[in-house]
Amino acid sequence: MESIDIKALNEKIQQNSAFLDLLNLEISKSIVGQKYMIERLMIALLSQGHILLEGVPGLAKTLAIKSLSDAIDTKFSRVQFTPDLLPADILGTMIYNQAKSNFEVKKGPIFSNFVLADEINRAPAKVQSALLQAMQERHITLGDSTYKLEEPFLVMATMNPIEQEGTYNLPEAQVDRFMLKVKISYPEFEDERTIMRQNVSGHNPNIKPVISAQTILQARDTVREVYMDEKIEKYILDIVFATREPVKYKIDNLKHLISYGGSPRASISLAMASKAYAFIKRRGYVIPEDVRAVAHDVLRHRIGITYEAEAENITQENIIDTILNRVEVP
Amino acid sequence: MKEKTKNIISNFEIKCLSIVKFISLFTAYCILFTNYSFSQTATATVKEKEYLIGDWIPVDLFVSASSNNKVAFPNLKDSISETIEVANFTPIDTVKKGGENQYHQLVNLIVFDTGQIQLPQFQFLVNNNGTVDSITSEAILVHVAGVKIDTSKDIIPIKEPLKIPYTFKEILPFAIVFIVFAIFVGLLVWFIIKRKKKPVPIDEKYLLAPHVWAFKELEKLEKEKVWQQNIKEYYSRLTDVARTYIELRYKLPAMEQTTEELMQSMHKGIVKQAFKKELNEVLTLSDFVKFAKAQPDFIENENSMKIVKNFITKTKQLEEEKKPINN
Repeated sequence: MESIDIKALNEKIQQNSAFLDLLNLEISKSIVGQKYMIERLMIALLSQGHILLEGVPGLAKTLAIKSLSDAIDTKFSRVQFTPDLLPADILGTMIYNQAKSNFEVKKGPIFSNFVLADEINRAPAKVQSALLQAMQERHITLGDSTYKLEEPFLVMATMNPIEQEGTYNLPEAQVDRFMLKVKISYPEFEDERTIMRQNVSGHNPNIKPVISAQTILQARDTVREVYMDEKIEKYILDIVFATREPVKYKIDNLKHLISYGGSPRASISLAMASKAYAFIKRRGYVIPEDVRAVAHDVLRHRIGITYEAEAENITQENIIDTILNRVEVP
Repeated sequence: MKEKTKNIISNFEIKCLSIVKFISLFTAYCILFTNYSFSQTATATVKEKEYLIGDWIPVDLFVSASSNNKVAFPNLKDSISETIEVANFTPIDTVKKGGENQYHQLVNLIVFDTGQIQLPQFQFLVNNNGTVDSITSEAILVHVAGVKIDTSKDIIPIKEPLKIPYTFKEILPFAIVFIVFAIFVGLLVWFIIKRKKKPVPIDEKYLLAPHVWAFKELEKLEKEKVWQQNIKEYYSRLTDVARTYIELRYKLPAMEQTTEELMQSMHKGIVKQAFKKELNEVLTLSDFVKFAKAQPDFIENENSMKIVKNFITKTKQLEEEKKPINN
């Protein structure tokens, strides 16, 4: 087994994670009261994942990713998903140049570091598919050429939980490609007062790039090095397996409530997100608290609930809570 | 005289010649037309001429034909006409008699009409070396009488079906199913009783007082000298004992909580802050060993054991002090 010097790793993480303070400071100039969302964005960014945000309009989702992009000195693009959107509107297309008598590549908005897919469930399945395939494979084929997407590449998709008319629900297999599904709630009273004052005064803070994309790529490598003990690995697998076979974990009451459990991608995402969370907390090793901290965001879109569960008003959140309270912590 | 004699001879000769001629022709006829020497006959007969409506009318179909011929009987269906139905019929019985075959078939007909009823003619086909002839029986006239109803009496209800006692053959399948079912139920009951009798092993920790069990486990841990061999296992077992003790003593889900969550659960009302602080140090150190490859020295290892023992002793005393007040 590979020997790991935790002390040296801790020191390395202390050094490589110093940019997080700078980043948080810069983003907090424009974003108030959404610490949880920013932290989850950082987790997705550091663990090479994508994030699906669910929240009512006006919670600064767009501003958050725009601010993050500005602070990291990267390219940002936003796509508003509508029913008439076509895959080419996102990926790009080949356009005939009359002067040169040849086809030229017109790259779509996906060729950015940070892509905001606003209201992803408003576009039909073929558009969702095109985006999700690009998210997974990280390259696009236009004509005869394949173009690798520039790293860091982060897609933040949003979904409005209120209006469901005229929407196309994301299929389970495609939702699974998002590492995290984060539910955003309203800001606290005092935070909202600050937001209100900031906007009324007309003062628009100018977000400056404080770190480079290279820093993020370097941090990603360090995140992969974060030590995860066998006991933590077992704990992660126990949680994911409990979503599939609750009876095996003596959680019989969940058997009729779960239609399908987390996929192996859930285990991978939970491990990666735990490592990223440990990194954010400036630790070179993962502890059970890290796993529990990200478990809801990793699992909530990966657990299917039955009609019985819906009838009893039991949500994925309740199921995850039960599992976390019943699976033994190492 | 001579002429007279001549004439007599010639007359006699003529008679003889005509007899010989007849015999020769008859012999030739017999030799040449042997096949047609037997007549083909078909009859349909009934024994009686009077029947009641719904009665079976047994009609005997008879065909006599040369043994060289093939005979086809009529293809009988369920009914012959609207009022005449075929109840059943026997297979064709063939009897060889000399050079001919005699065929018999008994057909039971039922007539649902009254009066003079003409039973139909039956047509038979005879195949004589490729030549097919048909022969037909004669129609039969029978009288079918209806049931006389005594209108002077009241209409009585339809009689119940006759109750026929069950035979052993009829009962046998049910008896077998019942016996198999009884055996299955018996086995099931036997299995359940046997299973119930089997003592379910109860974990020792639920039988002993929490502190007794905890001290027993800690003693085992010390005796096995675990920390000298595997420090990770030592701290895992040490914290497991402490957590299980808390779970048993305070009914907190300590095994399913992280160190931080456990400390929050053990608020002031439950455990004195002084006891909690020391235990927190051990659990945190244990987390370092388990998840961050920390290697504490032997003083820390022994000190951790002391802290856990101390925590159990003090909380046990505290709980015992509480008991009389509660009672």
